[in-house]
Amino acid sequence: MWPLPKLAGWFCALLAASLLAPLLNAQVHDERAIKVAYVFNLTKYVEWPHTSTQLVVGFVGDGPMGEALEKMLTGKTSDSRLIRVVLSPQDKALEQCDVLYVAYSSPEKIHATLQRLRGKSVLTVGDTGSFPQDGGMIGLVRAADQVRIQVNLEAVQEAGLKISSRVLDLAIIVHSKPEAK
Amino acid sequence: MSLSIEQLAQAKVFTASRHLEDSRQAPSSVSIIGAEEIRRYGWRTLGDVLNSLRGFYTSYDRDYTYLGVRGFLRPGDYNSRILMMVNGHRVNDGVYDSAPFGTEFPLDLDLIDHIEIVRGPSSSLFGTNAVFGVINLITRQASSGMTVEASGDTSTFLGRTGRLTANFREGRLSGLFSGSLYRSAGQSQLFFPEFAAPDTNGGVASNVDGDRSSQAFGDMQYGNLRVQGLYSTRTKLVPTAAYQMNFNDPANQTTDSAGFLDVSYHRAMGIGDLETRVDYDRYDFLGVGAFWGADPAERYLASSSAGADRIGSEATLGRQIGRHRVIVGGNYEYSPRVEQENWVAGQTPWFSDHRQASQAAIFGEAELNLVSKLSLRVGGRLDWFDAYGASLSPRVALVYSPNSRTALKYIYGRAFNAPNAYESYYWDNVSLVAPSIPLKPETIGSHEVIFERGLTSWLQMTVDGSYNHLGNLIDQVPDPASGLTHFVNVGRDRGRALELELETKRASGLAARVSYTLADAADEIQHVRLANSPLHMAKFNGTVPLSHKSFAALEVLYASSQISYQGTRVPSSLLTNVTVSTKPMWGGWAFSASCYNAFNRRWFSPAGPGLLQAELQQDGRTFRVKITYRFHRERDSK
Repeated sequence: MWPLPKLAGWFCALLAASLLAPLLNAQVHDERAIKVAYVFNLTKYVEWPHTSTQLVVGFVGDGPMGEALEKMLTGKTSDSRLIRVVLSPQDKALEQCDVLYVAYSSPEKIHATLQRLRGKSVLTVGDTGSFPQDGGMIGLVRAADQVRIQVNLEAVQEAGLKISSRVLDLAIIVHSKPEAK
Repeated sequence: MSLSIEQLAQAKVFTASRHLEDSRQAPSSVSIIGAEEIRRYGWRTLGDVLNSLRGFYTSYDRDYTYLGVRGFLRPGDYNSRILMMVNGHRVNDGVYDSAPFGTEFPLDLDLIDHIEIVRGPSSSLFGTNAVFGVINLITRQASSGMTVEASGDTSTFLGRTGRLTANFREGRLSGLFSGSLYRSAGQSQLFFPEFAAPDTNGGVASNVDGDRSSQAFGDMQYGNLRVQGLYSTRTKLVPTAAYQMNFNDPANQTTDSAGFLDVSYHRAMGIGDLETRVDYDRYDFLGVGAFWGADPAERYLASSSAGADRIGSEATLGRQIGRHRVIVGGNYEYSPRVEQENWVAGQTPWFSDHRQASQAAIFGEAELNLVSKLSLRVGGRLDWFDAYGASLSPRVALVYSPNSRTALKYIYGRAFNAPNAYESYYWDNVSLVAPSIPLKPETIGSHEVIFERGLTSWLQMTVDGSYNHLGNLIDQVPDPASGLTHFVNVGRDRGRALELELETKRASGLAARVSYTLADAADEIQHVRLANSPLHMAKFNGTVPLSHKSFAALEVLYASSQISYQGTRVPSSLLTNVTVSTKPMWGGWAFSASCYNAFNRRWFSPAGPGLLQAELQQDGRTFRVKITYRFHRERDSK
């Protein structure tokens, strides 16, 4: 009838092969954790024009990143600044963020937020496809099984921020689309 | 957090191959319910959660909760046509293939991070039971540092729950452990007009609605290796005198115990993403009933037990090839014990069935992104059961997304539902005799067209039309030869359903959805509408922030009238549930207060075979108050 012994043998072999493989390398991470780790690293490699004892990370939009940022960054310190996470900051509070993670699903809202923050020293981070081309500063884009970082250098400089070459060496440099300027 | 930026650029991210990323790209109609939503609406059971979604409805017979989908809720079926999983581990038991939706569900809802509800036949990837859909419950991940959480709630009818959860994450090692206890005295006086006679206490079942359960769950992860397990046992007193038990007797009860141990490993390799899993499952059922003997003064206890042990292994490989994605996998399960027994207390069993079972499957699906806006998914699964032979379940889906706001999907799928041990082998000669002809798997063919559109930046619309055709349905029907009932592959049903939904989420915290479902499900042989099938359903769910840390949520659910198994008309129902809740405040305290069926409306569930009653009145207005305290200690990090 059905070649059950053959199948069972195949699975055992597959199972054995995967279990015997070394566990040391190729650790696989949760995508949200990687993105939050990127945000944390950026706080160390970006220079803001002002100094303060705390660093405010804001989140606007939908999706799981807000909760992930709050859970993983609240209370951490970066270069002796205490990190505070603010979810859905409104109006004035938006401009008081040092980093703003923008995760709206609608491109219009993203555009409106970026327009609003032009010239302000807020590092904008997003994970939608064309975030840096639309004027955002940092894009965290999923490419197959990795998260790559994209930087829109003009937007960063326009905001009066300086970004370390350590990040630029790893990043894909992106330019704003003409309409976004 | 300990990774340097260079390491981040090299890090591999887990691709959930059979799990969902963006529901708009999924080749099905998908709903995702998050933990925050469960808290805000005060949902107590999985049945409450599903009841808020378009196309689903529940019914409760004072013992188990039954789920209906698009007009189908089969009398006598223990939800075997819905596949339920916890973190990808199959929960449907090894005897009845039942999926637990009430307090018999083995996991505390507080442990859930989110629920993925995939409508439509998914046997092409998951095999048996995935006829009307798949519900995958994903549990919480441990947060960094160390967290201890305690939660308690109290509700009407002396219901109380206590839960203690601890989790930690240290580098690559994380663990989450939780235990819960639940007790409820139930309604102290339940009136059943069918039993309104002097010798049955005037139809009043007194203090026999009690419910209690204990649960434990553990989840440890080290890098790519995960070990999870749970154990749960739940006992419910049965006040309905089902199966001709003595009315108003506290000995009538059912106990369901379930446990599993699951070891899984995933690894991104050059050839693709590999997921492997080895697991052990155990299920035990015990039903006890009190009966009068030939001599009216003689009361005896009769018991019915069932149990299964199952060992399974599974491997899947997902790979990106250019713009396309392919997944292949295989599964093998062996059940060394599948047994059912009936006995009278103190005597040897008069019914006893012990057997082993094995099954194997291979499956695959290819996602072909032909042109930038069009995606074709083709897949299938071949299942082989030692008792029933082979079943092939294909699925084809076409997804057209002209822009990021719009998706049009067409899905055709065939699924099957293998007969379970209970349907095939059980008899008690009181209400049920064994099938005279060996049972075959049921089949379903399904066509579905889904249109999803972001109308404005904050308003999302979904229109979902489906046509389901079920054949060889295993039905519990009257058997003229014995005068009792038996299971037969006799049914042929067809269902047409149209679902409309509007959903909004605003930055202010306001979130709402409103849906309407028209489900016309009929028996194609008898040309009558199915029992347990409301033609119309309308639902509203809305939540608004009351302050920076508190929310109010309102739920209004309407279902039109239904026909019961016995042919009587069960009136329509309109329920209003209100919950006020807070996020953690004052250093870790969260509260919620809920009122269910706020207007105290009378409403009924149709009853199944085995009950004298045609319909069962459900609870009036009830309350619940819940308090949670979370203590968190972060490890210092730079």
